[in-house]
Amino acid sequence: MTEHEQSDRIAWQATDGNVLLRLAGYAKTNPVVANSLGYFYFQTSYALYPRRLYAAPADQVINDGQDIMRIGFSPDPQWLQAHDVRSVLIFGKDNPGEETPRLEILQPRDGRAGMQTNNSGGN
Amino acid sequence: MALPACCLYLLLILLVGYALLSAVHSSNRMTIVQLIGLGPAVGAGTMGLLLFWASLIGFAPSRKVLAIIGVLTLASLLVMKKKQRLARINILATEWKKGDGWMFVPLVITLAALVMIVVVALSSPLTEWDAFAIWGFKAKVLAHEALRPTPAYFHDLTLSYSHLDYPLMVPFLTAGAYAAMGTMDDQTGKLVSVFLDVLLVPMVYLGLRWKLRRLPAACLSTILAMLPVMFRYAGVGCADLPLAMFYAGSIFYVARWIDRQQWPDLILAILFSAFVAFTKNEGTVLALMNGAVLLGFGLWGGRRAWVGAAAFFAGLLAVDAAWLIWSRSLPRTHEDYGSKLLSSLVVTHLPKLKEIIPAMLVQTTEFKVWGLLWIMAGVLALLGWRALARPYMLALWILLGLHLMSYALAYSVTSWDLTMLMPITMDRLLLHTVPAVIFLAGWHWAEVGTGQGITERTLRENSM
Repeated sequence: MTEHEQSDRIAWQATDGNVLLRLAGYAKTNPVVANSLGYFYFQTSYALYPRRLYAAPADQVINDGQDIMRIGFSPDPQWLQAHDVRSVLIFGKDNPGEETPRLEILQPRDGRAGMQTNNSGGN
Repeated sequence: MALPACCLYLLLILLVGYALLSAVHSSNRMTIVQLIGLGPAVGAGTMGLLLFWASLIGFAPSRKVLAIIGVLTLASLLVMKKKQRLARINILATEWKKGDGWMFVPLVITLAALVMIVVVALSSPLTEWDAFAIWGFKAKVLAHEALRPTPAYFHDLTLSYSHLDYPLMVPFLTAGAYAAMGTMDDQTGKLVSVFLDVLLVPMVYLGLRWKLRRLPAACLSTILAMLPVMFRYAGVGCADLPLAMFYAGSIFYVARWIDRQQWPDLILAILFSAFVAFTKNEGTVLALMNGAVLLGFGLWGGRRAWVGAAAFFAGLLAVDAAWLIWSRSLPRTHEDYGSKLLSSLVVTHLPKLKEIIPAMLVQTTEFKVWGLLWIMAGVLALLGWRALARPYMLALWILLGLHLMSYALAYSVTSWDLTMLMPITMDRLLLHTVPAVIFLAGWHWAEVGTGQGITERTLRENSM
Protein backbone atom coordinates (compact mmCIF):
# COMPACT_ATOMS: atom_id res chain seq x y z
CA MET A 1 0.00 0.00 0.00
CA THR A 2 1.38 3.40 -0.96
CA GLU A 3 1.60 6.23 1.55
CA HIS A 4 -1.28 8.15 0.04
CA GLU A 5 -3.44 5.04 -0.02
CA GLN A 6 -2.62 4.54 3.65
CA SER A 7 -3.67 8.11 4.42
CA ASP A 8 -6.85 7.73 2.37
CA ARG A 9 -7.67 4.55 4.27
CA ILE A 10 -7.15 6.31 7.59
CA ALA A 11 -9.39 9.18 6.47
CA TRP A 12 -12.06 6.67 5.49
CA GLN A 13 -11.75 4.73 8.77
CA ALA A 14 -11.90 7.85 10.94
CA THR A 15 -15.42 8.42 9.79
CA ASP A 16 -16.40 11.16 12.23
CA GLY A 17 -14.75 14.06 13.92
CA ASN A 18 -11.12 15.04 14.15
CA VAL A 19 -8.06 12.90 14.81
CA LEU A 20 -5.19 13.26 17.26
CA LEU A 21 -1.71 12.25 16.16
CA ARG A 22 0.16 10.50 18.95
CA LEU A 23 3.77 9.42 18.77
CA ALA A 24 4.78 6.14 20.31
CA GLY A 25 8.11 4.52 21.18
CA TYR A 26 11.02 5.42 18.92
CA ALA A 27 8.89 7.95 16.97
CA LYS A 28 8.98 10.27 19.98
CA THR A 29 12.69 10.87 19.80
CA ASN A 30 14.41 9.13 16.89
CA PRO A 31 15.34 11.81 14.29
CA VAL A 32 15.56 9.13 11.61
CA VAL A 33 11.77 8.94 11.41
CA ALA A 34 11.28 12.74 11.25
CA ASN A 35 11.07 12.77 7.48
CA SER A 36 8.55 9.98 7.18
CA LEU A 37 6.58 11.42 10.11
CA GLY A 38 6.41 14.78 8.34
CA TYR A 39 5.29 13.19 5.07
CA PHE A 40 2.71 11.13 6.90
CA TYR A 41 1.34 14.15 8.81
CA PHE A 42 1.10 16.29 5.65
CA GLN A 43 -0.46 13.51 3.59
CA THR A 44 -2.99 12.51 6.25
CA SER A 45 -3.90 16.15 7.03
CA TYR A 46 -4.62 16.56 3.31
CA ALA A 47 -6.64 13.35 3.10
CA LEU A 48 -8.70 14.18 6.20
CA TYR A 49 -9.58 17.79 5.36
CA PRO A 50 -12.01 19.40 6.29
CA ARG A 51 -11.53 17.25 9.37
CA ARG A 52 -8.28 17.85 11.23
CA LEU A 53 -5.27 15.84 12.28
CA TYR A 54 -4.04 17.50 15.45
CA ALA A 55 -0.35 17.26 16.31
CA ALA A 56 -0.05 20.52 18.28
CA PRO A 57 -2.09 23.49 19.46
CA ALA A 58 -2.85 25.96 16.65
CA ASP A 59 -0.21 28.46 17.83
CA GLN A 60 2.68 25.99 17.50
CA VAL A 61 4.60 26.05 14.22
CA ILE A 62 4.92 22.75 12.39
CA ASN A 63 7.14 22.85 9.33
CA ASP A 64 8.46 19.31 9.47
CA GLY A 65 8.43 16.05 11.39
CA GLN A 66 11.05 17.29 13.86
CA ASP A 67 8.65 20.03 14.98
CA ILE A 68 6.03 17.39 15.76
CA MET A 69 8.57 15.43 17.80
CA ARG A 70 9.77 18.55 19.62
CA ILE A 71 6.25 19.62 20.57
CA GLY A 72 5.27 16.12 21.79
CA PHE A 73 1.62 17.08 21.99
CA SER A 74 -0.40 15.41 24.72
CA PRO A 75 -3.71 17.19 25.21
CA ASP A 76 -6.07 16.54 28.09
CA PRO A 77 -9.56 15.07 27.61
CA GLN A 78 -11.18 18.50 27.80
CA TRP A 79 -9.07 19.70 24.88
CA LEU A 80 -9.96 16.60 22.89
CA GLN A 81 -13.63 17.15 23.57
CA ALA A 82 -13.47 20.85 22.72
CA HIS A 83 -11.83 19.99 19.40
CA ASP A 84 -14.18 17.14 18.56
CA VAL A 85 -11.38 14.56 18.50
CA ARG A 86 -12.90 11.12 18.05
CA SER A 87 -9.93 9.00 17.14
CA VAL A 88 -6.22 8.72 17.79
CA LEU A 89 -3.69 7.94 15.12
CA ILE A 90 -0.62 6.31 16.59
CA PHE A 91 2.68 6.69 14.76
CA GLY A 92 5.42 4.43 16.08
CA LYS A 93 5.28 1.40 18.34
CA ASP A 94 4.96 1.12 22.12
CA ASN A 95 5.51 -2.62 21.86
CA PRO A 96 7.19 -4.84 19.29
CA GLY A 97 4.77 -6.34 16.77
CA GLU A 98 2.32 -3.45 16.87
CA GLU A 99 1.12 -2.02 13.60
CA THR A 100 2.18 1.52 12.70
CA PRO A 101 0.50 3.78 11.94
CA ARG A 102 -2.71 2.58 13.50
CA LEU A 103 -6.01 4.23 14.23
CA GLU A 104 -7.90 3.86 17.49
CA ILE A 105 -11.45 5.12 17.78
CA LEU A 106 -12.14 6.89 21.06
CA GLN A 107 -15.02 5.61 23.14
CA PRO A 108 -17.70 8.23 23.70
CA ARG A 109 -18.23 9.05 27.38
CA ASP A 110 -21.50 10.56 28.52
CA GLY A 111 -22.57 10.66 24.89
CA ARG A 112 -19.64 12.91 24.01
CA ALA A 113 -16.60 12.25 21.91
CA GLY A 114 -12.97 12.70 22.72
CA MET A 115 -13.00 11.69 26.36
CA GLN A 116 -11.60 8.23 26.68
CA THR A 117 -9.54 5.81 24.67
CA ASN A 118 -9.09 2.08 24.75
CA ASN A 119 -5.44 2.62 24.19
CA SER A 120 -3.19 2.43 27.19
CA GLY A 121 -0.10 4.53 27.65
CA GLY A 122 0.27 7.80 25.81
CA ASN A 123 2.92 10.45 25.71
CA MET B 1 -19.33 12.54 -14.81
CA ALA B 2 -16.40 14.30 -13.14
CA LEU B 3 -14.22 14.34 -16.25
CA PRO B 4 -16.82 15.92 -18.61
CA ALA B 5 -17.57 18.55 -15.93
CA CYS B 6 -13.87 19.31 -15.64
CA CYS B 7 -13.60 19.60 -19.44
CA LEU B 8 -16.57 22.00 -19.47
CA TYR B 9 -14.77 24.09 -16.89
CA LEU B 10 -11.69 24.22 -19.13
CA LEU B 11 -13.94 25.27 -22.01
CA LEU B 12 -15.26 28.09 -19.84
CA ILE B 13 -11.66 29.15 -19.15
CA LEU B 14 -11.00 29.21 -22.89
CA LEU B 15 -14.14 31.29 -23.50
CA VAL B 16 -13.12 33.79 -20.81
CA GLY B 17 -9.71 34.11 -22.45
CA TYR B 18 -11.19 34.50 -25.92
CA ALA B 19 -13.55 37.22 -24.69
CA LEU B 20 -10.75 39.07 -22.93
CA LEU B 21 -8.41 38.87 -25.92
CA SER B 22 -11.16 40.11 -28.21
CA ALA B 23 -11.70 43.04 -25.87
CA VAL B 24 -8.01 43.83 -25.50
CA HIS B 25 -6.89 43.47 -29.06
CA SER B 26 -7.84 45.69 -31.91
CA SER B 27 -6.74 43.53 -34.83
CA ASN B 28 -9.82 41.30 -34.59
CA ARG B 29 -7.79 38.33 -35.77
CA MET B 30 -6.47 35.36 -33.89
CA THR B 31 -4.52 32.35 -35.06
CA ILE B 32 -5.35 28.83 -34.00
CA VAL B 33 -2.23 28.77 -31.77
CA GLN B 34 -3.33 31.97 -30.11
CA LEU B 35 -6.76 30.45 -29.57
CA ILE B 36 -5.47 27.26 -27.96
CA GLY B 37 -2.41 28.80 -26.23
CA LEU B 38 -2.87 32.44 -25.44
CA GLY B 39 -6.65 32.21 -24.98
CA PRO B 40 -6.61 29.58 -22.22
CA ALA B 41 -3.57 31.19 -20.60
CA VAL B 42 -5.31 34.55 -20.29
CA GLY B 43 -8.55 32.79 -19.41
CA ALA B 44 -6.94 30.72 -16.65
CA GLY B 45 -5.28 33.74 -15.06
CA THR B 46 -8.51 35.70 -15.23
CA MET B 47 -10.56 32.82 -13.87
CA GLY B 48 -8.18 32.39 -10.93
CA LEU B 49 -8.49 36.06 -10.07
CA LEU B 50 -12.28 36.10 -10.54
CA LEU B 51 -12.70 33.11 -8.20
CA PHE B 52 -10.42 34.83 -5.68
CA TRP B 53 -12.41 38.08 -5.80
CA ALA B 54 -15.71 36.18 -5.52
CA SER B 55 -14.35 34.28 -2.53
CA LEU B 56 -13.23 37.52 -0.90
CA ILE B 57 -16.79 38.80 -0.95
CA GLY B 58 -18.07 35.56 0.52
CA PHE B 59 -18.68 33.17 -2.40
CA ALA B 60 -16.54 30.04 -2.48
CA PRO B 61 -16.13 28.48 -5.94
CA SER B 62 -19.39 26.76 -6.83
CA ARG B 63 -21.39 25.81 -9.91
CA LYS B 64 -23.48 28.94 -9.33
CA VAL B 65 -20.40 31.18 -9.39
CA LEU B 66 -19.11 29.41 -12.51
CA ALA B 67 -22.52 29.74 -14.17
CA ILE B 68 -22.52 33.50 -13.46
CA ILE B 69 -19.03 33.83 -14.96
CA GLY B 70 -20.20 31.78 -17.96
CA VAL B 71 -23.31 33.92 -18.52
CA LEU B 72 -21.34 37.17 -18.21
CA THR B 73 -18.72 35.85 -20.64
CA LEU B 74 -21.33 34.80 -23.20
CA ALA B 75 -23.07 38.17 -22.84
CA SER B 76 -19.78 40.01 -23.48
CA LEU B 77 -19.10 37.80 -26.48
CA LEU B 78 -22.54 38.61 -27.89
CA VAL B 79 -22.04 42.34 -27.37
CA MET B 80 -18.62 42.17 -29.05
CA LYS B 81 -20.07 40.18 -31.93
CA LYS B 82 -22.71 42.87 -32.42
CA LYS B 83 -20.02 45.55 -32.41
CA GLN B 84 -17.88 43.38 -34.70
CA ARG B 85 -15.04 43.31 -32.22
CA LEU B 86 -14.99 39.55 -31.85
CA ALA B 87 -11.64 38.10 -32.93
CA ARG B 88 -11.94 35.93 -36.01
CA ILE B 89 -9.98 32.68 -36.04
CA ASN B 90 -7.44 32.21 -38.81
CA ILE B 91 -5.96 28.75 -39.15
CA LEU B 92 -2.60 30.15 -40.28
CA ALA B 93 -0.84 33.35 -39.25
CA THR B 94 1.09 33.55 -42.50
CA GLU B 95 1.19 31.78 -45.83
CA TRP B 96 2.46 28.23 -45.85
CA LYS B 97 6.04 28.43 -47.11
CA LYS B 98 8.51 26.05 -48.62
CA GLY B 99 9.88 23.76 -45.93
CA ASP B 100 6.94 24.32 -43.58
CA GLY B 101 5.67 20.87 -44.49
CA TRP B 102 8.38 19.45 -42.20
CA MET B 103 6.45 21.05 -39.36
CA PHE B 104 4.49 17.85 -38.93
CA VAL B 105 7.58 16.12 -37.48
CA PRO B 106 8.09 18.43 -34.47
CA LEU B 107 4.33 18.82 -34.18
CA VAL B 108 3.72 15.07 -33.87
CA ILE B 109 6.61 14.68 -31.40
CA THR B 110 5.34 17.60 -29.32
CA LEU B 111 1.78 16.30 -29.27
CA ALA B 112 2.99 12.81 -28.34
CA ALA B 113 5.05 14.25 -25.47
CA LEU B 114 2.16 16.36 -24.19
CA VAL B 115 -0.34 13.50 -24.45
CA MET B 116 2.05 11.30 -22.49
CA ILE B 117 2.38 13.97 -19.80
CA VAL B 118 -1.40 14.30 -19.52
CA VAL B 119 -2.01 10.54 -19.40
CA VAL B 120 0.65 10.00 -16.73
CA ALA B 121 -0.70 12.93 -14.71
CA LEU B 122 -4.26 11.62 -14.74
CA SER B 123 -3.23 8.11 -13.77
CA SER B 124 -2.54 8.98 -10.14
CA PRO B 125 -3.75 11.36 -7.44
CA LEU B 126 -1.47 14.02 -5.94
CA THR B 127 1.64 12.23 -4.69
CA GLU B 128 4.30 14.91 -4.94
CA TRP B 129 5.09 16.32 -1.48
CA ASP B 130 4.52 20.00 -2.42
CA ALA B 131 1.51 19.13 -4.57
CA PHE B 132 -0.65 17.79 -1.76
CA ALA B 133 0.93 19.56 1.21
CA ILE B 134 0.76 23.05 -0.33
CA TRP B 135 -1.26 23.40 -3.51
CA GLY B 136 -3.74 20.54 -3.11
CA PHE B 137 -4.40 21.39 0.52
CA LYS B 138 -5.14 25.03 -0.30
CA ALA B 139 -7.43 23.95 -3.16
CA LYS B 140 -9.46 21.84 -0.71
CA VAL B 141 -9.67 24.72 1.78
CA LEU B 142 -10.75 27.20 -0.90
CA ALA B 143 -13.32 24.80 -2.36
CA HIS B 144 -14.71 24.26 1.11
CA GLU B 145 -14.81 27.82 2.48
CA ALA B 146 -14.96 31.37 1.15
CA LEU B 147 -12.24 33.81 2.18
CA ARG B 148 -14.76 35.88 4.10
CA PRO B 149 -14.51 35.28 6.98
CA THR B 150 -10.88 34.15 6.65
CA PRO B 151 -10.77 30.36 7.07
CA ALA B 152 -9.03 29.15 10.24
CA TYR B 153 -6.54 27.34 7.99
CA PHE B 154 -4.74 30.57 7.09
CA HIS B 155 -3.79 31.26 10.72
CA ASP B 156 -3.23 27.72 11.95
CA LEU B 157 0.50 27.46 12.54
CA THR B 158 0.36 23.68 12.81
CA LEU B 159 -0.22 23.83 9.04
CA SER B 160 2.69 26.21 8.51
CA TYR B 161 4.43 23.55 6.40
CA SER B 162 1.82 24.27 3.70
CA HIS B 163 3.15 27.84 3.38
CA LEU B 164 0.12 29.76 4.58
CA ASP B 165 1.24 32.89 2.71
CA TYR B 166 1.61 31.37 -0.77
CA PRO B 167 -0.45 32.93 -3.58
CA LEU B 168 -3.66 31.23 -4.58
CA MET B 169 -3.88 31.12 -8.39
CA VAL B 170 -3.40 27.37 -8.84
CA PRO B 171 -5.45 26.44 -5.73
CA PHE B 172 -8.36 28.62 -6.90
CA LEU B 173 -8.27 27.15 -10.41
CA THR B 174 -8.28 23.65 -8.89
CA ALA B 175 -11.07 24.61 -6.49
CA GLY B 176 -13.02 25.81 -9.53
CA ALA B 177 -12.61 22.34 -11.05
CA TYR B 178 -13.82 20.74 -7.81
CA ALA B 179 -16.85 23.03 -7.92
CA ALA B 180 -17.57 22.12 -11.54
CA MET B 181 -17.19 18.40 -10.78
CA GLY B 182 -19.18 18.58 -7.56
CA THR B 183 -16.51 16.56 -5.78
CA MET B 184 -12.96 17.03 -4.50
CA ASP B 185 -11.54 14.34 -6.77
CA ASP B 186 -7.87 15.31 -6.93
CA GLN B 187 -7.02 12.74 -9.60
CA THR B 188 -9.46 14.19 -12.14
CA GLY B 189 -8.80 17.68 -10.79
CA LYS B 190 -5.20 17.28 -11.91
CA LEU B 191 -6.51 17.88 -15.41
CA VAL B 192 -6.51 21.58 -14.53
CA SER B 193 -2.93 21.69 -13.32
CA VAL B 194 -1.60 19.59 -16.20
CA PHE B 195 -3.56 21.81 -18.60
CA LEU B 196 -1.77 24.85 -17.15
CA ASP B 197 1.56 23.02 -17.37
CA VAL B 198 1.33 22.01 -21.01
CA LEU B 199 0.11 25.48 -22.01
CA LEU B 200 3.73 26.53 -21.62
CA VAL B 201 4.52 24.93 -24.97
CA PRO B 202 2.05 26.90 -27.16
CA MET B 203 2.87 30.06 -25.19
CA VAL B 204 6.56 29.62 -25.98
CA TYR B 205 5.77 28.79 -29.62
CA LEU B 206 3.78 32.00 -29.82
CA GLY B 207 6.73 34.00 -28.55
CA LEU B 208 9.15 32.28 -30.89
CA ARG B 209 6.91 32.84 -33.91
CA TRP B 210 7.26 36.57 -33.38
CA LYS B 211 10.75 36.34 -34.82
CA LEU B 212 11.09 32.87 -36.26
CA ARG B 213 9.56 30.94 -39.12
CA ARG B 214 7.25 28.04 -38.38
CA LEU B 215 9.76 25.22 -38.60
CA PRO B 216 12.51 26.57 -36.29
CA ALA B 217 9.87 27.82 -33.86
CA ALA B 218 8.25 24.39 -33.83
CA CYS B 219 11.62 22.66 -33.37
CA LEU B 220 12.47 24.80 -30.35
CA SER B 221 9.00 24.18 -28.91
CA THR B 222 9.54 20.46 -29.35
CA ILE B 223 12.84 20.71 -27.51
CA LEU B 224 10.92 22.33 -24.65
CA ALA B 225 8.21 19.66 -24.67
CA MET B 226 10.84 16.91 -24.63
CA LEU B 227 12.96 18.34 -21.82
CA PRO B 228 13.46 15.78 -19.06
CA VAL B 229 12.63 18.49 -16.54
CA MET B 230 9.23 18.95 -18.22
CA PHE B 231 8.46 15.27 -17.78
CA ARG B 232 9.61 15.50 -14.18
CA TYR B 233 7.39 18.42 -13.16
CA ALA B 234 4.49 18.60 -15.63
CA GLY B 235 1.34 17.11 -14.21
CA VAL B 236 2.52 16.69 -10.64
CA GLY B 237 0.16 19.39 -9.38
CA CYS B 238 2.67 22.05 -8.32
CA ALA B 239 2.72 25.70 -9.38
CA ASP B 240 6.14 25.87 -11.02
CA LEU B 241 5.07 25.23 -14.60
CA PRO B 242 1.99 27.47 -14.37
CA LEU B 243 4.37 30.17 -13.10
CA ALA B 244 6.70 29.58 -16.06
CA MET B 245 3.72 29.62 -18.43
CA PHE B 246 2.41 32.97 -17.16
CA TYR B 247 5.97 34.27 -17.02
CA ALA B 248 6.43 33.35 -20.70
CA GLY B 249 3.45 35.56 -21.54
CA SER B 250 4.69 38.40 -19.36
CA ILE B 251 8.20 38.63 -20.79
CA PHE B 252 7.01 38.13 -24.36
CA TYR B 253 4.65 41.08 -24.12
CA VAL B 254 7.18 43.17 -22.19
CA ALA B 255 9.63 42.59 -25.05
CA ARG B 256 6.99 43.43 -27.66
CA TRP B 257 5.98 46.60 -25.85
CA ILE B 258 9.62 47.69 -25.74
CA ASP B 259 9.92 46.92 -29.44
CA ARG B 260 6.62 48.27 -30.79
CA GLN B 261 4.92 50.22 -28.00
CA GLN B 262 1.42 49.09 -28.82
CA TRP B 263 -1.12 49.27 -26.01
CA PRO B 264 -2.53 45.72 -26.37
CA ASP B 265 0.98 44.39 -25.72
CA LEU B 266 1.24 46.46 -22.58
CA ILE B 267 -2.17 45.31 -21.35
CA LEU B 268 -1.18 41.68 -21.85
CA ALA B 269 2.19 42.33 -20.17
CA ILE B 270 0.32 43.74 -17.16
CA LEU B 271 -2.17 40.87 -17.06
CA PHE B 272 0.46 38.14 -17.32
CA SER B 273 2.69 39.85 -14.75
CA ALA B 274 -0.29 40.08 -12.39
CA PHE B 275 -0.99 36.37 -12.94
CA VAL B 276 2.67 35.56 -12.22
CA ALA B 277 2.51 37.49 -8.93
CA PHE B 278 -0.65 35.61 -7.94
CA THR B 279 0.87 32.20 -8.71
CA LYS B 280 3.97 32.03 -6.50
CA ASN B 281 5.76 34.42 -4.15
CA GLU B 282 8.75 34.64 -6.48
CA GLY B 283 6.25 35.78 -9.09
CA THR B 284 5.89 39.11 -7.29
CA VAL B 285 9.62 39.68 -7.68
CA LEU B 286 9.45 38.66 -11.35
CA ALA B 287 6.53 41.00 -12.00
CA LEU B 288 8.41 43.88 -10.35
CA MET B 289 11.47 43.06 -12.45
CA ASN B 290 9.31 43.28 -15.57
CA GLY B 291 8.20 46.71 -14.38
CA ALA B 292 11.75 47.81 -13.56
CA VAL B 293 12.94 46.84 -17.03
CA LEU B 294 10.00 48.65 -18.64
CA LEU B 295 10.84 51.69 -16.53
CA GLY B 296 14.52 51.50 -17.44
CA PHE B 297 13.76 51.35 -21.15
CA GLY B 298 10.97 53.87 -20.65
CA LEU B 299 13.42 56.47 -19.38
CA TRP B 300 15.33 56.06 -22.65
CA GLY B 301 12.41 55.65 -24.98
CA GLY B 302 10.42 58.85 -24.92
CA ARG B 303 7.10 59.85 -23.43
CA ARG B 304 5.01 56.91 -24.65
CA ALA B 305 7.47 54.40 -23.23
CA TRP B 306 7.65 56.27 -19.92
CA VAL B 307 3.87 56.49 -19.64
CA GLY B 308 3.71 52.78 -20.50
CA ALA B 309 6.01 51.92 -17.61
CA ALA B 310 3.91 54.00 -15.21
CA ALA B 311 0.75 52.36 -16.56
CA PHE B 312 2.36 48.94 -16.01
CA PHE B 313 2.92 49.57 -12.30
CA ALA B 314 -0.54 51.09 -11.88
CA GLY B 315 -2.18 48.19 -13.70
CA LEU B 316 -0.20 45.56 -11.82
CA LEU B 317 -1.09 47.13 -8.50
CA ALA B 318 -4.76 47.44 -9.46
CA VAL B 319 -5.09 43.78 -10.53
CA ASP B 320 -3.19 42.35 -7.56
CA ALA B 321 -4.24 44.91 -4.93
CA ALA B 322 -6.83 42.63 -3.33
CA TRP B 323 -4.28 39.83 -2.95
CA LEU B 324 -1.58 42.15 -1.61
CA ILE B 325 -3.92 43.63 0.99
CA TRP B 326 -5.60 40.39 2.00
CA SER B 327 -2.36 38.42 2.28
CA ARG B 328 -0.57 41.07 4.36
CA SER B 329 -1.73 39.57 7.66
CA LEU B 330 -0.92 35.95 6.81
CA PRO B 331 1.70 34.33 9.04
CA ARG B 332 5.12 33.97 7.44
CA THR B 333 6.43 31.17 9.57
CA HIS B 334 8.04 29.06 6.86
CA GLU B 335 11.15 30.23 4.96
CA ASP B 336 9.88 33.79 4.27
CA TYR B 337 12.46 34.68 1.66
CA GLY B 338 10.77 38.04 1.10
CA SER B 339 11.74 39.42 4.51
CA LYS B 340 15.18 37.84 4.40
CA LEU B 341 15.96 39.36 1.00
CA LEU B 342 15.00 42.79 2.30
CA SER B 343 17.21 42.48 5.39
CA SER B 344 20.93 42.92 5.94
CA LEU B 345 21.27 39.13 5.62
CA VAL B 346 21.68 39.62 1.88
CA VAL B 347 24.90 41.55 2.42
CA THR B 348 26.32 39.32 5.13
CA HIS B 349 25.58 36.18 3.13
CA LEU B 350 27.04 37.44 -0.16
CA PRO B 351 30.12 35.19 0.14
CA LYS B 352 27.81 32.18 -0.22
CA LEU B 353 27.36 33.16 -3.87
CA LYS B 354 30.81 31.68 -4.46
CA GLU B 355 29.24 28.31 -3.77
CA ILE B 356 25.83 28.97 -5.35
CA ILE B 357 26.71 30.44 -8.75
CA PRO B 358 29.03 27.57 -9.78
CA ALA B 359 26.37 25.09 -8.66
CA MET B 360 23.80 26.89 -10.85
CA LEU B 361 26.17 26.82 -13.80
CA VAL B 362 26.84 23.13 -13.33
CA GLN B 363 23.10 22.49 -13.10
CA THR B 364 22.50 24.06 -16.53
CA THR B 365 24.83 21.50 -18.08
CA GLU B 366 23.04 18.50 -16.55
CA PHE B 367 22.03 16.61 -19.68
CA LYS B 368 19.57 14.40 -17.80
CA VAL B 369 17.65 17.49 -16.71
CA TRP B 370 18.04 20.03 -19.49
CA GLY B 371 19.26 18.11 -22.50
CA LEU B 372 21.36 20.62 -24.40
CA LEU B 373 18.95 23.53 -23.88
CA TRP B 374 21.25 25.95 -22.06
CA ILE B 375 24.26 25.06 -24.17
CA MET B 376 22.21 25.46 -27.35
CA ALA B 377 20.92 28.84 -26.16
CA GLY B 378 24.49 29.95 -25.49
CA VAL B 379 25.67 28.84 -28.93
CA LEU B 380 22.74 30.54 -30.68
CA ALA B 381 23.36 33.72 -28.67
CA LEU B 382 26.96 33.73 -29.88
CA LEU B 383 26.00 33.05 -33.49
CA GLY B 384 23.24 35.65 -33.46
CA TRP B 385 25.09 38.21 -31.34
CA ARG B 386 23.90 41.04 -33.57
CA ALA B 387 20.49 40.73 -31.96
CA LEU B 388 21.95 42.32 -28.84
CA ALA B 389 21.66 45.66 -30.58
CA ARG B 390 17.90 45.38 -30.33
CA PRO B 391 16.44 46.87 -27.15
CA TYR B 392 13.95 44.04 -26.61
CA MET B 393 16.81 41.51 -26.67
CA LEU B 394 18.79 43.54 -24.21
CA ALA B 395 15.68 43.72 -22.03
CA LEU B 396 15.28 39.94 -22.13
CA TRP B 397 18.92 39.38 -21.20
CA ILE B 398 18.53 41.79 -18.29
CA LEU B 399 15.37 40.00 -17.18
CA LEU B 400 17.11 36.62 -17.28
CA GLY B 401 20.10 38.02 -15.41
CA LEU B 402 17.91 39.56 -12.70
CA HIS B 403 15.88 36.36 -12.47
CA LEU B 404 18.96 34.19 -11.92
CA MET B 405 20.46 36.71 -9.52
CA SER B 406 17.30 36.81 -7.40
CA TYR B 407 17.32 33.01 -7.09
CA ALA B 408 21.02 32.98 -6.24
CA LEU B 409 20.36 35.56 -3.51
CA ALA B 410 17.39 33.54 -2.24
CA TYR B 411 19.69 30.54 -1.87
CA SER B 412 22.22 32.71 -0.06
CA VAL B 413 19.77 33.65 2.71
CA THR B 414 18.08 30.29 3.11
CA SER B 415 18.07 28.67 6.52
CA TRP B 416 18.39 25.24 4.91
CA ASP B 417 21.66 23.45 4.38
CA LEU B 418 22.67 24.47 0.85
CA THR B 419 24.32 21.20 0.02
CA MET B 420 21.02 19.50 0.75
CA LEU B 421 18.67 22.16 -0.66
CA MET B 422 20.28 22.98 -4.00
CA PRO B 423 20.32 19.48 -5.50
CA ILE B 424 16.62 18.97 -4.78
CA THR B 425 15.30 22.39 -5.77
CA MET B 426 17.53 23.90 -8.42
CA ASP B 427 16.03 22.16 -11.46
CA ARG B 428 12.55 23.29 -10.33
CA LEU B 429 13.67 26.90 -9.86
CA LEU B 430 15.60 27.08 -13.11
CA LEU B 431 12.49 25.73 -14.82
CA HIS B 432 10.97 29.17 -14.21
CA THR B 433 13.66 30.72 -16.41
CA VAL B 434 13.09 28.37 -19.35
CA PRO B 435 10.78 30.74 -21.30
CA ALA B 436 13.44 33.47 -21.24
CA VAL B 437 16.16 30.99 -22.24
CA ILE B 438 14.14 29.62 -25.17
CA PHE B 439 13.07 33.08 -26.35
CA LEU B 440 16.70 34.19 -26.27
CA ALA B 441 17.72 31.10 -28.23
CA GLY B 442 14.99 31.64 -30.82
CA TRP B 443 15.31 35.39 -31.19
CA HIS B 444 19.08 35.13 -31.55
CA TRP B 445 18.54 32.35 -34.05
CA ALA B 446 16.41 34.74 -36.07
CA GLU B 447 19.52 36.89 -36.48
CA VAL B 448 21.74 34.00 -37.54
CA GLY B 449 19.94 33.53 -40.82
CA THR B 450 18.39 30.08 -40.54
CA GLY B 451 15.36 31.39 -38.85
CA GLN B 452 15.27 34.68 -40.66
CA GLY B 453 12.61 35.61 -43.08
CA ILE B 454 10.27 37.53 -40.86
CA THR B 455 9.26 40.42 -43.01
CA GLU B 456 7.36 43.49 -42.00
CA ARG B 457 4.28 41.87 -43.48
CA THR B 458 4.75 38.78 -41.32
CA LEU B 459 5.15 40.97 -38.28
CA ARG B 460 1.94 42.76 -39.13
CA GLU B 461 0.16 39.46 -39.63
CA ASN B 462 1.51 38.11 -36.36
CA SER B 463 0.28 41.23 -34.72
CA MET B 464 -1.27 39.57 -31.66
